[in-house]
Amino acid sequence: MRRQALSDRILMQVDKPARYTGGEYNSVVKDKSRIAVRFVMCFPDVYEIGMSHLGMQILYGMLNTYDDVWCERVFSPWTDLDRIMRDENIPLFALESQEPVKDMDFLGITLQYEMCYTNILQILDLAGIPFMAADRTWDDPIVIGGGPCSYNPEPISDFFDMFYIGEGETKYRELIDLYKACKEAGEDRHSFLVKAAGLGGIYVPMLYDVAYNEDGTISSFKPNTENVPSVIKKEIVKDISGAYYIEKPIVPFIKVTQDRVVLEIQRGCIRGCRFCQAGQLYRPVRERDVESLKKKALELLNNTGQEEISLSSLSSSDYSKLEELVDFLIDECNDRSVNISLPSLRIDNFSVDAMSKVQDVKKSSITFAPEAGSQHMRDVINKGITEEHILKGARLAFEAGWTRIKLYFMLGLPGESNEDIEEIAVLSDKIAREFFDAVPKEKRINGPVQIVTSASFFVPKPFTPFQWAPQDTKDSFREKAYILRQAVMAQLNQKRIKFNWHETDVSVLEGILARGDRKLNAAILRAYKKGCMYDAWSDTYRDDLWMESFDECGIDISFYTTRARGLDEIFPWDFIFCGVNKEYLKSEWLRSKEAVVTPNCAVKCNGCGAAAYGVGICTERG
Amino acid sequence: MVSGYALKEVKSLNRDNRIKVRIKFSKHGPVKFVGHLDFMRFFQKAIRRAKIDIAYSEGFSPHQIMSFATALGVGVETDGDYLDIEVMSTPDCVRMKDELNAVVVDGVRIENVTVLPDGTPNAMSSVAAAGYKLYRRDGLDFNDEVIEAADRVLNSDTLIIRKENKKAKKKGRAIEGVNDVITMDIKAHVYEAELTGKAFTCLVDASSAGNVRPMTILELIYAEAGLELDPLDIQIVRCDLYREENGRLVTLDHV
Ligand code: SF4
Repeated sequence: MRRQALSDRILMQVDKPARYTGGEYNSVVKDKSRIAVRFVMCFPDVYEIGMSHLGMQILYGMLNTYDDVWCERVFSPWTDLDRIMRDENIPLFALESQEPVKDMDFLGITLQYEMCYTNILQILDLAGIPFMAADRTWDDPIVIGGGPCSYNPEPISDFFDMFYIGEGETKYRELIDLYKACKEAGEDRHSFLVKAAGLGGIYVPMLYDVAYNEDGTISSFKPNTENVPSVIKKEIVKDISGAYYIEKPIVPFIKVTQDRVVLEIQRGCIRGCRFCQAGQLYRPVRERDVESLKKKALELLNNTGQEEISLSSLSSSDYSKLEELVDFLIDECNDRSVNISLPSLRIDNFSVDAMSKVQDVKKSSITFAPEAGSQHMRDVINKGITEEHILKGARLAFEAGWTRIKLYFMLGLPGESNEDIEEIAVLSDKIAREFFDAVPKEKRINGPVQIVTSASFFVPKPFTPFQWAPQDTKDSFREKAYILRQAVMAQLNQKRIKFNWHETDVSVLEGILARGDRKLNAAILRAYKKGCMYDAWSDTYRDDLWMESFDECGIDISFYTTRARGLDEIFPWDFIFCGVNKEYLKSEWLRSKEAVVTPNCAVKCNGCGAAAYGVGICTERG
Repeated sequence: MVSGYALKEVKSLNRDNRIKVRIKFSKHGPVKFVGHLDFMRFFQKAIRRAKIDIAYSEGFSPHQIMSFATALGVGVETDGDYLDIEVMSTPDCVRMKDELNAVVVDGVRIENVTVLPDGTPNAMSSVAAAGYKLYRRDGLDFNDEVIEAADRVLNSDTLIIRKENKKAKKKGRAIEGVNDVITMDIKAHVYEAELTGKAFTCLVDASSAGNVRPMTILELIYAEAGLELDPLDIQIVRCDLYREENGRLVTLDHV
């Protein structure tokens, strides 16, 4: 039986002890005497969130196919265990071996959202690894970050030895080989970092110097060491169907957020929604071969025993073989009593038909994400759908028997007027009217229509056309939510519409961190030392401590949030090449101001720059 | 390509054709921290992995026809717990056991698989008694005072426990020191009990009417010895579950 890092006594006292004991089906335990490199992959949030993340499972599986590498996992201990570990001086440990994280060769941290930044410091702290990369020695693991937030790593640049920019499948083998060679040759840690920076896709923050203008913007960003690239090009998988994909996903004991098999059908997105970061970062679109997906689906179900399978992509409806794949899954899953979930589908004849086969219309709801209420705003954000599309989709859903509709909108989009906000309420009401029109009284057996209209606050993100846009203030967010609430109450069917909106405080913090620079490192460390942790959780989020920390570090938050950025300003993330180039983003920003739409990649290539990778839709379209 | 056993046509077969099967399992080591509901989910997935042709309920989210004899608390180990499932055809019990053992995790073992004769009541309603073993987590023996106290407690004619008066509390009528605690003699529900240096073992009533917690008895013994018992210091292992047959206790897999 594996030795546990935590005593039974401690495990009996914490909530959900199975978060910390490992040993799940398909988790990998290797004979460590035959392992050259120990890797621990970290998702800096609680187990149930981290174990739901597909990217981490892919890298875990891939790294464990290497005979000389053992990849393990670690998640943020929940606050109850956190306290015990500090009181009793228990070092953070990896789940599989239950051995200290500090003794590993690599600590890879996946960065999925900005609100996990203080949790990274918790991980380092509990592991006993110095916060500052500059203070580390060969006795510490190499701390490497990856994931969407590594596309602006600057606010957390002090805490990482390196960031891996792009898709993880391509460079880890080389990086690990380089590490082994440097260790064998007795080279120092710094020289390993310099060599790693030359591999491509690897950003080593300490090898770059930033200079600032008087107004706080960046005047220059340059390598301070020879042979270190001044631009980091994101890594992408060229042959997506041939790339490694999970074979035996870990099956958690406790219920996690995504408690199902996840099948990634494509990477990237053809739609150029101007607010969406993922849509730009992962260009160009690359589809996985449908035959191999079918085989994979069955393999994953067999290897896990999961009772549900879900498709994953940014916009599943754009996958060219979707019908074939879904029909296949419906057939197979019916035979096996496996549930299918089909997220991110555009609502049309096909999807309504497919969903009515896999869901109980009485119990489930249909989701639309128009993102904006007025056509003008939908054009500004390049959403590419009209009111007619939405109403037609809703009608199809009502005719198929659904009565519950969820609508997602954003408030605080660039150039939004009060009328645009009120249009959200009007559109919600029109959908309700569509129901009463489409479904005659005697057929309303599932009850009357119920509409849930949710609004989140828009946060501009790097590598989007809106990276130049000022973010709304907290007060303005609240005012807009109020205007919308009043507008909903003025509708004919207001009783059928439930309106809710997100927290405003966290949107502001997210905005600061998303477009932040190196100056924020100190404030994040300070906030952590004051006790900030689990900022993504409303119960644990401490806005007061964050604001105090910014104050004490002399940080003016409006510089990061509400300030209008100049067209030629150097952004902290400009040194990263993600395919889509700055000129293109700029032209999209200007077009958004005129509410001019840009067709998607399937209709027309707009020359965004991603064709530089020579793969996917950019080449296939001829 | 394996297409799974639970074919649609078979699924709609008459309920009467289904075969009831009882599975006895053990659970030791770190996996004891997986709670009852999660452990049920674990078994559901293991049964899918083993491709057992288990029966499913009808409807949009079909679930497996499965029921556990009784829940096992977080942190408690077991040498013998049970679950009943219904399958679509008479299984080869040895093969089913091996197939399941090939897809479970470290610490879980299928001890045996038994086909239940028609009309056998389900595991849950048959449980009459449970055997337990309790020992110190630090690996040390119970000390002499405890052993001597056990002698007195277990050989007396009564076993009086005090417990919270839940009824009065619920109605808001509990008065401290007056009726907030009730006393009860559980002697008749403790069938066997022995404390040696190594372990405290007992066989107690586990029916829904007279269920006895083994820790309660150990607490009495410690109290008699004038010592405080911290339940976190004690590991509980369930040894087996029993049903009654002609006035005798037999294990649940004895059918
Ligand atoms: S280069 Fe053209 S086809 Fe390729 S991602 Fe950009 S816009 Fe789309």
